[in-house]
Amino acid sequence: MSKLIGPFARRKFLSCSKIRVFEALCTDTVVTFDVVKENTLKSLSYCRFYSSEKKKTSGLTKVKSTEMTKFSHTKTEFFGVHHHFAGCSLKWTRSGNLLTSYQDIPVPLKETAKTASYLGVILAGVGVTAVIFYQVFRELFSSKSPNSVYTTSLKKCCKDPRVIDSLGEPIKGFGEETRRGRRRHVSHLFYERDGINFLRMKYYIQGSRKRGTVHLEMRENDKGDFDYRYLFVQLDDYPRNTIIIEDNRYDNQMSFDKPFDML
Amino acid sequence: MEEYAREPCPWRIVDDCGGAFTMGAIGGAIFQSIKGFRNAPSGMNRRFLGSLSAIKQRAPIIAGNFAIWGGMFSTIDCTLVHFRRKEDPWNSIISGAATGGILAARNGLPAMAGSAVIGGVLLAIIEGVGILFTRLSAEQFKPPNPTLEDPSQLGPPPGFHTQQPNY
Repeated sequence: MSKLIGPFARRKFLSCSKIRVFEALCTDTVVTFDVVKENTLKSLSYCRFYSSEKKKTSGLTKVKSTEMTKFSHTKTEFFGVHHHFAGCSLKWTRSGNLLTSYQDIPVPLKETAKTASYLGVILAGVGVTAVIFYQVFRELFSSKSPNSVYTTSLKKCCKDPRVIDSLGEPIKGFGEETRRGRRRHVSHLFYERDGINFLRMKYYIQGSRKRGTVHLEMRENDKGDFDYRYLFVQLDDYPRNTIIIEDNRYDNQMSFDKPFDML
Repeated sequence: MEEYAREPCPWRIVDDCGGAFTMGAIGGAIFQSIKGFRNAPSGMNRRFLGSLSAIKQRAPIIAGNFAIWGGMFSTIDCTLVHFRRKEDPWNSIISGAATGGILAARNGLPAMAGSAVIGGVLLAIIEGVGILFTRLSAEQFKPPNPTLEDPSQLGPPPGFHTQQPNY
């Protein structure tokens, strides 16, 4: 039978005088109950139950303790009260014995309310996590997310010979810089005009010689995919040359503000 | 473009290492003070003493662990930025997973895999929170009726001058 227990007994500020050890058989475990009287000044005003549970399968011993149970000074309140712990009903009799029994104790209403509130907290946590993961997956794997538009257009820019000529290889791309030195966020704006979705985006590229800014706009086509409306690189040095990689603004399908219809 | 003149990358490692150390020191001190308080013998004086000694013993260790994590993470992040030539959420997710894996290397392959998954998921969640917040704030500040001009760098539409009506 295992002796008690943890820091309390070792530090010797606790009288362990009144320890009764009981053994009871659970389904596949041996549970021993120890009772430690924790406050010697007022007799039996605090009590904590310990159980050391020996798993028969693994041979491991697990020590559990209850919440500190507080009693008033009248012993009647202490004796004869049922405590529910580790699947057992515990009852301290007047003679100083601890009775254990395995009757099912009806769960009080307070307990169910507690369980329900815990369940609510768990569900809320799971919900928030699900929303976050949904956002991450949409950002990373959808072809219409800012991140994938950035990836594909960056590839297109880096392949363009004029861009390679003026910036110099290797070319890398990045977004807006934050205070902490992160440049992951690409500034973009989704908007809608005449019932058609547009995405405008701006990010930066840097070659071995020069830097540039990429501006682009995507337009949703009939199939719901994004097409380039325009895509150009503006160099950051003085003449601020512009390299237009794609300009589909005046294709029949692409133009939304037909400037000459009014004539 | 002065604000983009300096590359953040190699310096960011030192930055992140120090930031993580501070974070670990503060968080660890708070955590250990509560833990020490609860584990100490009864009596207010002894409780505060226990809390203090727990902080002195454990908080620097936690801070150091945080600093190692932060520094390692940032190093891998910068390496990825260099080789992928691109900054995006994948960098941080991959480097989170790699950091978790490398720092658990002494515990064997299964532990490494577990830590790597935890690190990756954690960083994915952090990225997700960032994405969520930018999306929410973008929605909040969305102009109700955007009248966006095409950028002037593209020049006038083709045939704009020739087809100008003669009044």
